[in-house]
Amino acid sequence: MGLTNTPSDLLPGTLELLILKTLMNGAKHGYGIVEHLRLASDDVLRVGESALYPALQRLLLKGWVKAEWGTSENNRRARYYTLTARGRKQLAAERAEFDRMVGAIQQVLGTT
Amino acid sequence: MNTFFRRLRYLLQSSRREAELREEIEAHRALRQGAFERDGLEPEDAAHASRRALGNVALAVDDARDVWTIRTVDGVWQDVRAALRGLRKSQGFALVAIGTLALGIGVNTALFSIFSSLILRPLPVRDPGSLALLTNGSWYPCAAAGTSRPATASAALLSPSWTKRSCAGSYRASSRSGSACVWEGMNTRATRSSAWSPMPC
Repeated sequence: MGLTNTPSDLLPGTLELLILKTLMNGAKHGYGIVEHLRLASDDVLRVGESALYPALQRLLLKGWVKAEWGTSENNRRARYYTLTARGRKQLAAERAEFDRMVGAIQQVLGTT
Repeated sequence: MNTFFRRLRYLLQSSRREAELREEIEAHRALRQGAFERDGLEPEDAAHASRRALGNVALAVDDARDVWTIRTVDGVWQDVRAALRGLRKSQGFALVAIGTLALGIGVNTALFSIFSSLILRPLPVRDPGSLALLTNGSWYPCAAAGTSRPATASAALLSPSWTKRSCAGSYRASSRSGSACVWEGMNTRATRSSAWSPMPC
C-alpha cells in the first residue's frame, strides 16, 4: 500500500478508527502510533505524518483523544495521546459501522 | 458546543499550537532517525533518510490548521487582526475614528430615546385615548402632566373611568364628579375643583 500520506489511500475515516484502536492499549505518541500500525499490519499500513497529524487534530477537535506532553524513550519532549471516554464510545460505534461497510463491499464484490 | 469552544481556544492560541505541532513532528522525525540508526545507518544518513520519509511538514501543519478553522472564520479573524494592527500603527486616527463613532451612536441613541418616549410610546395607562387634559388656562404638554409637577399644578390628565376608590398615577380625575387627582409634591390628593375644565389631549 505504500506510504499513506493522503487519506484517500484508506476508506474515509478509517485512519481515525485505526488510531482510536491503537490508543486502546494506552497512551502513545505520533511515532508510536505509526509504528504500531506498521507492525500490526505486517508492514502494509505505513502512515505518513502529513496524514497522521491532521487526523490526530481531528480527533482532538472532536474530543475523542486528549494530548499531553511527556518524555519519549529517546529523552525528547513528545506529545502523548490518550483515549477519552467519548473516544472509547466512538471506537465501538465506528467499529460496528466499519464492519457493516466492509460487509457490504464484500457482498457487492461477491455478486456475479 | 464543546467543539465550538475547542475551535475558539485553538484560534486564540493558534501560533503556540502550530509551534507545538512542528515540535511534535520534529520529535517524530528524531524517533525515526533513531530507528534508522538502530538498523545500522550512519547518523548522518539516518537524519537524511528520516527527513525524506517525513514528507511535507508544511503541508501537514497546513492540513492540521484547516481541521480547526472554518475557512471563512479564519479569514474574518485575519481581517480583524490586520485591522487592529493598522489602528495601533496610527493611534491618532484610531482615536478620532472611535470618538466620532461613539459620539454619533450616543447622540443618535439619546435623541431616539427622547423621540420614542415623547411621541411613539403610548401613555402607561389603560385606554390612553379616553384621557383628557384638565387645565386652568395655561397649557402644559401632556407628557409632563404625570411626572414632576410643582405643588401648584395647573394641569392634569383626566380619565372618565376614574372612581373614588383609586387615585393611582395621580393624574387621573373624573370629569363627571368634578373632582380631580392632582400631583402635589410627592403626595397625591383628590380635590374638588369646578375651575378645572376638561379638554381633549
